[in-house]
Amino acid sequence: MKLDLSPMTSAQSAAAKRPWWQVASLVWRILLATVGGYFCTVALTSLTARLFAVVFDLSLASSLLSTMLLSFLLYSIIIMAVFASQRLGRTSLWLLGTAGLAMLLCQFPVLSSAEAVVTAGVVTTEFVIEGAKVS
Amino acid sequence: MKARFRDSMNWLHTWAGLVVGWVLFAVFLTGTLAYFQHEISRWMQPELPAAASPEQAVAQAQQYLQQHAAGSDRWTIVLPGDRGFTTDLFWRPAPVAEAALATSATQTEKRPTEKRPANRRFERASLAGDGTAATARETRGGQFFYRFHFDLYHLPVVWARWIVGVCSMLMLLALCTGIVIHKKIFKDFFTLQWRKGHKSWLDGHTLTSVLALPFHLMITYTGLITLMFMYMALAVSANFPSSQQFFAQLQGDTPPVVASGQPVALVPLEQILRQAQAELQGADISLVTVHQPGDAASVIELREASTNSLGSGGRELRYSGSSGLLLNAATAAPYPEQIRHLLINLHSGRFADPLLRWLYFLSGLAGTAMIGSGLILWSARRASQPGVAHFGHKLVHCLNGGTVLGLPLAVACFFWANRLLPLQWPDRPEWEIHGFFAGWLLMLLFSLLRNPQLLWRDGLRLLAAVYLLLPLLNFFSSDRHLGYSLWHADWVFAGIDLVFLATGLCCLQTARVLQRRRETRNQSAMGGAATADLAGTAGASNR
Repeated sequence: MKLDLSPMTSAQSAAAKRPWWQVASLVWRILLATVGGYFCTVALTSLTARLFAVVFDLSLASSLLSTMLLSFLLYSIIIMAVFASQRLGRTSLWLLGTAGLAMLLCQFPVLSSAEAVVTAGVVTTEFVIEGAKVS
Repeated sequence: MKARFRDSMNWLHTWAGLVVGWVLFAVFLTGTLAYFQHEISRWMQPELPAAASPEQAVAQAQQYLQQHAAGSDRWTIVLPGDRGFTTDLFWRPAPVAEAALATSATQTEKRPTEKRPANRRFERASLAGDGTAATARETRGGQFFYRFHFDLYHLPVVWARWIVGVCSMLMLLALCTGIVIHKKIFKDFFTLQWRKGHKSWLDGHTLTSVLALPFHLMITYTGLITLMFMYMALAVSANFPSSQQFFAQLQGDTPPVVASGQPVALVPLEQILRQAQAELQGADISLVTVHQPGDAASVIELREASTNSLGSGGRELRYSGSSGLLLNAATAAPYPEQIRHLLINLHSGRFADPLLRWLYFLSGLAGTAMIGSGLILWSARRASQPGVAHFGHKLVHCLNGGTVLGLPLAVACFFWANRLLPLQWPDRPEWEIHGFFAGWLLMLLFSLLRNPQLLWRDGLRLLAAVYLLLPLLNFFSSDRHLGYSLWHADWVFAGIDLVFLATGLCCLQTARVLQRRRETRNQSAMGGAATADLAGTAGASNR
């Protein structure tokens, strides 16, 4: 689907001429809020969980559970933000960009080894914390 | 979306609330009833004797299981607790018997041979307070409402839970946006406008929302938390190779119990129960599981009930079944896990004493009324605007009537079926549930066929009749009628009969108000000021 990259004011004048555009942009907005919002929530939940695990020296499961407890709040805020947005195109880029970036950062060696920290002992933990300081 | 932030939020509030309003109404009403699920079950089995104490119950269960479930590799005993009236037992049948059954089944029927023991079906039994298998009428009781409020019915459980999850998420959104759009939340609260058409509906909606707003937010959010591992499963699988590893890290890993093949008599469970209660500083035990009973390697697992306080529940103790020695001390779960437990306790309210339980119940009713009035408000606003009635408006009107009036009727039919069906009726519990859906369907048809202006008045009259006659039905069909229960201070039976009466009277009064309003409107219409305010006649909601 083509993104509406123009600001809302001009889109509104265009919508007056083209009702299908209005419908399409509404459908896109709903999809972006629900599906996109869900993936963005999961990505941000994972990233913060991994960060907390490294910074506060928690097990990944504990920190993931903590962030999951807050995930529904995050999800509602994202959905409300998408529906409040005046510039749908820009919001789409922001949302999908954030989700992608968060997923990428999760693959960062320091963060992706958080899982190994739990099973390996203290030595690795210290190493990872130092690594976090360096980065 | 709209030029103003509040307008976008208003749009979101309206549509998020509307599309899932009917499911939410059903979920809220049955969930609210589930706060009294044990009491409802009790009312639905009036012939049961009083419940046993936990020590008696566990001893009776052991005796029963040794007779009927010898050779099973696992027994599960659900103790009655303070509010329950039966001890529920579950066990997997002995492997030998099952194998014989499976082979005979393959010869005759299409039932597949199940090789993995985890797939074998459970046997179950309920013990009354005297230790014999309960001979009361078969019924799902209040548990039906409890399961319905997240599993629905006639649907695969996984689908149903996803549907309820999506609806709850939209409910959370509707609540958040509702707060945002309502700038003068407290000012409006003191300027109620009665008898002003859809404005009164708006006020009714606001009143029921604001009065119990913390409850609504809490119950919706914690409802999502109860099934979080399902709804946010992606977050787990994105970070762990398997969910088992996640749970093992979180809750500790308990190795499966393997039978040694050497028979040793099981220690008396009553004694283990006392030890466990002492170990947990007098906490109640809700669940006892015996792995490999009668084997030298047997293990008894006891789980703490969440009935003592908000933070209680979830601790587990393991004892050896042959020696009775404690195998592991109760360890505290990690903090996030404790918080999750606490949030779930907050949702299910098992810890609540009677007063708090009534508050839960009333707040739940307020939530149900909030959803109902919101749905009616949608209709009333559009009906008050001039113009041709849209198909969608009619659809919403019918669904509103069929749900807001239909669910209370369905609940009443469930109780009626419980008392009217013959005791030996085959599949009795199932037929009670058919009664529930028949009531709902009846009201849907009624709201489709009845003149829209008279739907609410007549529907409420029907509800009033059905609820006012329930205590009378109880009088004729059991020896625990209202007079008896009040005389003997049996508050479970008396309370439920009184709630039926109160519900009936509320419906009757609302129907009267509607009738009076209709008469005055007709008079003024004859005077020349005819205003077709269809849903202005729409009646009060809740039950």
